[in-house]
Amino acid sequence: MDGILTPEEKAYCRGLEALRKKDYSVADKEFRACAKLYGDSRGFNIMTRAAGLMAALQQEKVKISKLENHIRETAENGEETIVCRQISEESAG
Amino acid sequence: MIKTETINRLEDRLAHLIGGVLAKKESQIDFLIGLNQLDDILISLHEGQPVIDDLTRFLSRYRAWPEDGNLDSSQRKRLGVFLNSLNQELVNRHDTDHFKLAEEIREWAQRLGTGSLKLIFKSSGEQASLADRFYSLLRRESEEMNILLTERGHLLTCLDDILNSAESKNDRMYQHLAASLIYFLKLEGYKTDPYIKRLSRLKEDK
Repeated sequence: MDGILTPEEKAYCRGLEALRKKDYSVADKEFRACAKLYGDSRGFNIMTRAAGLMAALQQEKVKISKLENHIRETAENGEETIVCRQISEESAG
Repeated sequence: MIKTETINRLEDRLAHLIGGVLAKKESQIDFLIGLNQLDDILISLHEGQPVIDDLTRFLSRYRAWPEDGNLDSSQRKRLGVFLNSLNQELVNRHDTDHFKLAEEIREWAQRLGTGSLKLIFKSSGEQASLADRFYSLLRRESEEMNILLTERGHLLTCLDDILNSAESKNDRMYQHLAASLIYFLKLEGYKTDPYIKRLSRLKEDK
C-alpha cells in the first residue's frame, strides 16, 4: 500500500528539500516530475526555472573548470593528455 | 575569465532569488518536508520495514509541531490524517516499542487539537477479532502497570491512581485494569470494599 501523499506531491517535497540543500540538479529533476500538478502556480514556476538555470550554470562551471585545468596542463607540460583532449572535444561539440 | 565572471554573477543572483523564495515560505516548506518524511515512514510501515528509529527521530525533531502557531487549520487537519494512519498501523504491530510510539502519536493528536484517535485493531486486512482487542488491552495495561509501579511501588496506591484515571479519562482500559486489580487483591486477602464501591459508582455514572 502507498502512503497518503501522491507521487507528484512527494516529488514537490523532495524538490523543496533539494533546493534547501542547494542540490539544484536534483531539485530541477523533482520539480519537472510534478510540473503537471503545480505548473499553474507562479511561485512554483519561478522556483523550477531558477533551479533549472542553477543546475545548468553549475554544469557549465564544471566544464570551464576542466577547460582551465586543460589549458594550465598544456602550458606547464606542453602536451595534452587523452583526458584533456576529450574535454576539449566535448567543449567544442 | 569573462565567461566565469558572468556565470558567477548569474549564480549569485539566482541564489539570492531562490533564498528569498525559500525564506518567504520557510514554515510552509518545513511542514511539507516533515509531512513527506511522515509519509515515507508510513510507507515503510505498510511494507513491514523497521521504522522505530526514524519515527523516534521525527517525533524528537518536530516535537514543537502540535503547539506551533504557524500551522494553519488545513495543515493541522492534514497532519491529523497522518497521525491517525500512523496510530492505526502502530497499534496493530502488537509489540511494546510500537505501542509506545502509538501512545506518543495519540498524545500529539490531542495536543494538536484534532480530536483523540481511536484504536482500531486489525489483523492481516480483516476486522480485528475480539481476541486481538483483548490482547491489545492487556498489552496497554501491562505498560501502564510498569509505569505506575516504578512511580508508586505498592499495588494499592497504583489502584487508587488507576481509579482516579478511570474517573477523569474516557478510556475503558482504566476500568478494566481497576476491576482486574481489585479482584486480584481480594484473592490475596486485602480489603477491597471501598474500591469496589468507587468502581461501581463510576460504572453507574458512565
